This record gives sequence, C-alpha cells and structure tokens, in this order.
Amino acid sequence: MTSRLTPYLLIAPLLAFIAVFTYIPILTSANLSFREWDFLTDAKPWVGTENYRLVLSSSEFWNSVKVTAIFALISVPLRLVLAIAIASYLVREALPQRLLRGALFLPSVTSTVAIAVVFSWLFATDYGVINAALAWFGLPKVYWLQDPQLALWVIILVNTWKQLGYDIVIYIAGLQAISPDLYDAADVDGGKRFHVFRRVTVPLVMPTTYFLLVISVIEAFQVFTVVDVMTRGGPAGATDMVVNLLYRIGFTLFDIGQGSAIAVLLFILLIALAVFKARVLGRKVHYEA
Amino acid sequence: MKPEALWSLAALAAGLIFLSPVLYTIWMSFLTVDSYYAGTPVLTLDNYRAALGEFDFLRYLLNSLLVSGVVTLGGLALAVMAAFAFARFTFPGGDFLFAAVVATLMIPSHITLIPNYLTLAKVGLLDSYAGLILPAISNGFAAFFLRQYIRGIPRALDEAAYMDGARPLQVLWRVIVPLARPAILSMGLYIFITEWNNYIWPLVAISDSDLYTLQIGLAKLYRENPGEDVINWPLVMAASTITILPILIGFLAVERHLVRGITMGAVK
Amino acid sequence: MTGIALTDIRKSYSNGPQVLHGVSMSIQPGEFVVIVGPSGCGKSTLLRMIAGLEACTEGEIAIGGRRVNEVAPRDRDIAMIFQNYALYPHMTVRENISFGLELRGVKRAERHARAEEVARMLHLDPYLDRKPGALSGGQRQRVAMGRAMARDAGVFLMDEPLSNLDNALRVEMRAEIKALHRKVGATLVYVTHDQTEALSMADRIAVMKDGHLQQFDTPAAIYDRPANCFVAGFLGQPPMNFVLARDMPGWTGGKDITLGLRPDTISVAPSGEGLQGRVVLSEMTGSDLILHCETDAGRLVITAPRHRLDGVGETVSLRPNLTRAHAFDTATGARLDNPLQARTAEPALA
Repeated sequence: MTSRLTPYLLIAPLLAFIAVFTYIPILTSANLSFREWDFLTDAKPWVGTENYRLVLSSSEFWNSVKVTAIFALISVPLRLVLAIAIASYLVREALPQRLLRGALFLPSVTSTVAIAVVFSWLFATDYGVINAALAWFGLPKVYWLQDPQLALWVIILVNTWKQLGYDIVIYIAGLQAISPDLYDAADVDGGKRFHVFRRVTVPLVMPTTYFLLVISVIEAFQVFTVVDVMTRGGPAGATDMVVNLLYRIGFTLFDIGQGSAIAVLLFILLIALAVFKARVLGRKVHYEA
Repeated sequence: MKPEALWSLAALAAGLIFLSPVLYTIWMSFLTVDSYYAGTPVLTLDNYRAALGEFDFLRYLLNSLLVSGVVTLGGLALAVMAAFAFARFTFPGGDFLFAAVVATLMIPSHITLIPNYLTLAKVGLLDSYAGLILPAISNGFAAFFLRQYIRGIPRALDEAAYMDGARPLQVLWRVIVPLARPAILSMGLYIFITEWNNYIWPLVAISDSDLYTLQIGLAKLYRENPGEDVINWPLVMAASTITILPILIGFLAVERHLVRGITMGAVK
Repeated sequence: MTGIALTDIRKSYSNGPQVLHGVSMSIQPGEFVVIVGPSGCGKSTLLRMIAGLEACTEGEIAIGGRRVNEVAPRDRDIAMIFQNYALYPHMTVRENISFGLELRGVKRAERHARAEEVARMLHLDPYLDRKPGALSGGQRQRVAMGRAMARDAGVFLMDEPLSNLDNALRVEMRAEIKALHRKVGATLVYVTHDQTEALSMADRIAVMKDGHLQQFDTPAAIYDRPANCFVAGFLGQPPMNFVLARDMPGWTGGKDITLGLRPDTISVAPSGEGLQGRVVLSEMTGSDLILHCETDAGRLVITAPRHRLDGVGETVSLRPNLTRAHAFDTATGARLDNPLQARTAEPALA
C-alpha cells in the first residue's frame, strides 16, 4: 500500500489556493461588511449592520438590482430559446452544420472587451455602422448608448451575440446524447417537425437546459465587462449592474464596508436562487437513462 | 452544384454575416484613419505599427501570454494532481474535500474581489505578475472534470504500474497523464482562454501600465480616445484585432478540443 | 524461488460484508497453485491482497519468509497479470515489457535487450514496436505475460488471465502458461472460476467458497477425494450427481448420507435391472453422449458411449457403481468414508 499521506499531499496545493483565494475571502467579506473602512486608514471600526442599512436604503443599489434582474430575465430565456432552436438544426455532423457551428461559437471564446469595443463602434452615434445604415434609408440617427430606454437592450444584444454559441454547443452535445432512435420513432409516428421538437427534443434536453439555466443566471448576475467598457453603467444608471456598482463603491470610492455588504447580499441572492432552482426545477430533470 | 455544397455555402454565408462585426473590425484595422472617415479605403499597416509600438500593445501581448501561460500550466498541475487523488484514493475527509472543490464552481467570483485585493495589498503583490497569476491558479472546474475523466481510465492500469514498481507520482505522470491527454489539453485551452479574457481582476489588481494585459490595455485605449477630434477607430480596431487574434488562431487550430473541453461534463 | 505463507487472512470492508473468513495456505517455492471458486468467493480479493493492491484486515502474508503486510507492491518481488491484461495503451510492446525495469532504474540498453529476449520467448519479436491496440487478443495476452516475465520476479500472480480469449486460444495458452512456468520456475498463483483450467494446470488447487478455503490439494486428490459436497460438485464436468443414499436400490447403510456419483460411474443399458430412468435430454460431446435422466432418485446426468445411443423419451436402465461413489454427511456436506468401499477391498467395475 502507498503511504496514507499521498492523497493529502496531492490535493494540498489546490486546496491551499482555494482556501486562500476563495473560502477565506468569503469570511473576510462577511467580516468587512460589518465594518467601516476606507482602505487608507488603519482603523476598521465595527459598525454592525449600518452598511447593510445604507446599501438597502440606497436607490442606487435597488436600481442596480432592478437593472440586473431585467437583464437576466430577458437575456437568459432569449439565449436558451434561440440556442435550442438553432442547435436542433445544427446537430448533424455534416460540413454546413459544422461551419455554422464554428462561426456561432467563435464569439464566446473571444475577448469580451474587444467585442464591447467593436459593438461600441457599431452603435456609435456618429460614424457608427448602424446609424449609417439608418441614414442610408433616410432615417434619423439613434442615440443607442446615450438613450436610457435603449442602452440596456444594446447590452442584452451584445451579451446574447457573444454567449449564444456557447449555449448552442452545449445543446448540441445534449442533443447528440439523445438516442437517434427517438427521432426515428417520432418520424414513424408521422410527427411534424415542430411537434417532435416540442414533445421529444425539448423534454429530453431538460438536463442540459437546467445546466445552462443555472450557469447563465449566475453569469447574468455577475455581468460586468460589457457594461464597464460600453456604458460604465450609464446613461443615468440605465445599465448599472450590481457588480458595476460593487466595483465603483469598492474600488473608486474605496468604501470597503459597503462594497462588502453588496458582495455579501449578491452572494446570498445567488445561493438562494441556486437552492430555489434545485428545489423547483431539479425535480423535473430526471431523464437520464 | 450538389445540394450539400449549396447548403455549405449558405451556412458559410450565414456564419460570415454573424461574424461580420469581427470581420469588419479586422478589415478596418488596415485602413488609414483618413481613408476610414473619407470612405475611400487606403490600406496600411501603420495602425499595427502604432498599436504595437507607441501604444505598447506588444508589451501587453507579452504580459497576456505570460500570465495566461503560467496560470494555465499552474492551474493544470494543481488540478491534475488533485483530480488523480480524488479519482483514485479513498481517504478520510476525501468526499468532504472534493465537495469543497466542486462548490467553488457555484461560488460567484465577485465576493472574492475585495478580499483578494486586500490580501495581495497586504503582502505587497498588487501591481505584480504574481498578483495577476496567484488568485487565478486554482480551478475547481478543471479538477472536477479531470477527475471524471480519470475515473474513466481503467484502474487496472494504475495497479499494473504499481506492480511494475511505480510510486504514486510515477503512476500519475507515466500512466494517467498520457492517457488523460485529450482532457488535459481541452482543460488547458479552457483555462488559457478564460484567463486571456479576464478583465475585472487585472483591472482591480494592476495600475502600473507596464503590467497591463491586452484586455486592460484595449479598454484604456478605447476610453482615452486617441485621435484629434474624432476617435481613431482604425487604431482601436488594430488593437482589438491584436487582442482577439491569438485566440482566433488557436480556435481555428483546435476547435474540436475546445468544444470538447467546454461541453465535457455539461452533458452526462 | 519464493514461497508464500498465508495465515488466517481476513478481509472486511468498512460498512460492507466480510469477504474472507480466515484463509490459511502455505504455497511452496516454485509451485503452481490455482485458486478456484465461483464468483464472489473471495479468490480475486485474496490474490490482490498477496499483490499488495488491497490491505489485509487481519492475518499475515509472508512472501519468501518475510512478512509483507505493510510492504508496497513494488517491494514484494511479485509480478501480476491482470484479467484485461491492463497493458499501457500509450506504450509500445517494447515499452510495456520494459516499463517495470525502467522504474527500477535498469539502463536503457539493458532493458531493451531483456524486452527483446522475453519477446523472442513469447514469439512477440515482430510486434515490439506496435501498440497494444494493434494486437490480437492472444498477442495482448502474451505481452501481459512478457511484462511479468521481464522482471524475474519470484512470484507470479495471474487473475483470470484467459477469460477474454476464445476457446481454442484458451486451450493453447493453458499449455503455454504451463510450459512457461516450468521454464521460469517461479511460484505461480493463478485465479480462475474455470475448473478445467484448475485441473489441467495446477500442482495444487485451492477451492474457495464464500470466503472460506474448502480444500487445498493436488488435482487428483481433489477429484478423487473431495472434502465436501461443494468441492465434489464444483470440479468435474459434467458435475457430480448427488442422491440421497436411501433412495438407492440395494443400499443398506446409514440414512443421512448423500452419495456423490460422477457421471462416468453410472452405466446405462437399454433395459434390465437397476434404476429406471427416462431420458429427458441428450447432448453429444463427440465420442460420448451426456444423458439427463429422470429417475426415482431424482435427475441423474450420465455419460455414455455413443454406440449405446438412446433417444430422448426412451426408458433406460441405470446401474450406479456404488463402490465408486463418494459419501457425504447430508447435514454438513462433509466427506465420509464410503461404507461400501470399506467392505470390498477392490472397487468393482461397472
């Protein structure tokens, strides 16, 4: 037999890093959220729930929660519906499908900053391609990223364009795991294509849908980069996501206490969502053979 | 033309339309700024010359390569060792510790942002390569999926190696690692890309422009608006292309591995 | 050459059943021992404990006179052949065979020379640079043997090494393993569930059931004097018939005796005295027929020469040779002396 210590030595480095950079920070965040600190002074007085009171009574915080929730509620279903529909057409392993798959997948591995920059140019008010196209049709120019009514939609569009390919690839893998016999059986029954899609495909890829739902909601609540590059939360807070607010309070105002309070609140919200999903949706997801 | 070829062309066209923002970006990066605004294309490499030279993108590129490379190698090393232990050994606390590793997949990274900043500040590693690298090294996702993969390798191979005289690390290095190579490669790509595209952590941890990664450099360049009265879009696009290109090339070379790495485990 | 001494070996898994209940065995240096038993009897576990792949819960394992319970597999002077061969798929045949030498720090030239020598013995030399994936089942089997042989270990352990081969190859490999054992001279412990392999290859057979050692003896002794009903029924093909002694015509012995009758000790005639039986099934094996007959004493399986062909449905007369019968205590299954054998000095022929 090998030494009893062997497995512990093998996992020690990973666990050390996880402890220092993931688990201890959760406790640190919790601790700091009850203190007042600007990072510059040494004193970190305990202020109890004051930070939470301030955060929960600030309109800025509730605005960011609202914006993030709208973003999640629109972009996640939009992505999943588009992805499953496209994936069911691209599931075959033939050249056209593979070409299109590759094209759709590419943005998801591409730099978010670069994509945000490129779309900033597309939607630029002056010299932007979209407005140039509108002008060509004789339409007036639109203030895409300066109009509070529109900016969030642009962010949703960019995010969908970037992430869609990832969802599609996951769905394709899920579809390929379904036995082709099921489709054949449905064909013999004379099922119409949409009918088969609705009654066979959709229920059978439920585990995949569940997986994507879990990770894309978590992702949606952590969206930061696109907004930071394109709008910095503006105009007038119309695209101000929770993490953008957290970054601003923590790293430009250096209010460590309130920043930590926001982090803890978001953390609790995401844990609650995860538990809720496991309870409510988890039950519906047992098609594994 | 056969219908198959026709469909391929249609798919190619659809893909190109979808990717047109990226493609146009690349095209634009070769235009002189005057010709861009005038609408009469004049091709040039000056934008790249300016971006890589005057605007320091060569340095950012090397920073990105260094940071992503080290994070990938370090992350893989830690993940492979832990995955081997979790796949092959039963030991007191093993299940609990594995659960602790897997749970990190569900822990949103923003909660660690302020504390990690403080930790690195305390040990003086802000504005250093180590400060960029260390918090990104542990990767519970890679450990989890490599463990699943290793469990698929017959245990008799380990046992044969032990009988042949191997020690655990030799079994890992001589038997498991070669056999898990596809999974390790896929995970390596996944880690590399994730780190390459990482934005918020370098934004927080780095203020010294010598240490900027491409992502930070590009965001700054775009924001600081190089140009007299109008934005120098061709220059920004050249910088964007430099930021995207390594991944783009890698993508074309190894799309299959990448897709496998990303779908692995998402579907049972 | 290395002997193995197992003393009161027990194995139980935490919150699992006990799989070995005190097995003791003394294996002589150079001996070919086959451990045989139905699946789940603990034979593979026992082998893996000798190898060091599983820990002993209780008891002592000594190899070459040295206690090895705490010794790592690599330091036990053993080589092992696995059921699915467990060849390293990413290495060539040469690398597979010499990997053990490499791990032990043998120089490259020397270990390759050794690999080539072993490969020649096993007729593998044309395949040295192939990977296992490009080999047939029999060739893989040979590579597995070569890997074990390359190291000159004192003990060879084999875990059902032939179970993945087709029948013809299995017969061929049986002979080859036997010849190899003679040539190499190492102690060999071989686990199988196949009684033919046990009878044809072993110097001594260890029969196991439910974690208990039933009998440990030479093939002849086990076949001729099985220690109990289980051993008697497990070895021999077709298996031994068991009948209650009092159901036998002409029986005068005690009441609670079970008789074991090998199929070839019952003679069959188209008609006449003895047990009347109706043939319900007839299987041809070549020169012989295996007949399944319903009788008053229960179903009996007998072997009969083909020329006395009897069709299904016919009634035949069966005459068991009771002096060649084995007697067992019906309650415990333990072997008893056959009272009839004791009376006649020479067993009468049927």
